Amino acid sequence: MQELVLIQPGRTAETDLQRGATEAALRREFEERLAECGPLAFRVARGVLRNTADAEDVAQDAILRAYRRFDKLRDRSRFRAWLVRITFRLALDRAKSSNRRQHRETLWSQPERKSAPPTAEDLAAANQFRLRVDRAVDELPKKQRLVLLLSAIEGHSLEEIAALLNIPLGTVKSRLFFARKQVAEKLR
Amino acid sequence: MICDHYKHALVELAAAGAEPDQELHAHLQACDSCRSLLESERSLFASIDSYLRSSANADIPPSFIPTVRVRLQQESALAPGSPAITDRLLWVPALVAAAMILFVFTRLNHRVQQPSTDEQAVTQQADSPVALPTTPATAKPLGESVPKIGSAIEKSSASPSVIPHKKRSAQSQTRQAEILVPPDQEILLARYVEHWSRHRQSPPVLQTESAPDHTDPPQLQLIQISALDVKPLAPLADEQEYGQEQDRRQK
Repeated sequence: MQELVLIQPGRTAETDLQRGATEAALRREFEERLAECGPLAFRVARGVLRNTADAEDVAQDAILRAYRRFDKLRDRSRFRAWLVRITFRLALDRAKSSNRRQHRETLWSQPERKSAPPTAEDLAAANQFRLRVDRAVDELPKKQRLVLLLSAIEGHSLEEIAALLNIPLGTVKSRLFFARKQVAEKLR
Repeated sequence: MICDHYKHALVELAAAGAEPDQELHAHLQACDSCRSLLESERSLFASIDSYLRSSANADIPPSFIPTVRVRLQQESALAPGSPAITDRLLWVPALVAAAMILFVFTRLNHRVQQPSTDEQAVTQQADSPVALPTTPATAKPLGESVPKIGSAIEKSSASPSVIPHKKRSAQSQTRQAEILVPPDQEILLARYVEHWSRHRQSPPVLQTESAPDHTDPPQLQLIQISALDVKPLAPLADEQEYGQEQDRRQK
């Protein structure tokens, strides 16, 4: 026996309206989180790439990627960690594929120094030191590198990093310890 | 020696950013070199940290957030995360994959059909009165190289008109080995087979036995003439009569 289905013409319009409302709510929520987490994404990207333009580009890509999949994120409180991971991965990919390393090194934007203008020797030594630190950080394992980066960004505490990466505090401590030790060994 | 013992502990202490324990503290109070080593290590880690902080906490460009918002607006025009876009995103690769599978399947099918047609041609060749030998006939002694074309014809006529594919290929393989042709007739046979395959409709001309080899030019002896004795020819009776008639007419 064949079943008869009653088609309601107003139903699709209703579902469209519901979908539109859901999307608007999602977007509002995302934009709220963006104001909070956007700068962190940029800084993570810049910490890896050490170039403002590239970092901006990568951070925007990461945010858009997160936006496209925002509705699939079950635990919205994990958004910050999620965005950091996406940004870090994208930045690493960009750093690998980029052939502009030498260019970046020359165009490296110097951190602002409010003290008296340094001498040429000081600058040369400082540049040499930065290059060596950058190289040492680049050679770190990914997990250690991310922890070191996050510890440097926005003064994150170890507990915050542990919460952000959803890993035990002891793991954060050990990763940070080995990362700093390895960087220092490369500089000695 | 004592300082070497503490050196590793001092480096780890600086890396961890912790305070020395009682034993190490006591040693540091007594040993100036270890104290200076710890200080230098701490300053090294401090400079690393300060550099990492300064580079990681760079000022965010003022255009960053507005640009992101603009891009989000553009993205939302495509209804992000909605079932529609996910459906679209899923359907495109699915269609491409289906097209590729179809293409590969048709190509494979085409390839499978091609060998079968080739085999058909081979079996048809085998069904024909003669077939080219696959094994070199020169390997056989001349005495044995008697053509067995007749038997091949018999076999082909005896074979059923419809043979299963596998059987047919097997039969064609066995038949090809049965036909033996003398080496000097290979070319002739090849021409015949070619001719036969071109004109299948016409009745096949059986070439049971070929003539002996006449490829070498015949050796003829030269004609030797000692002397020519040319005698004047006597006029024939008809010619004489004809001449007389002509004279009369002229007169």
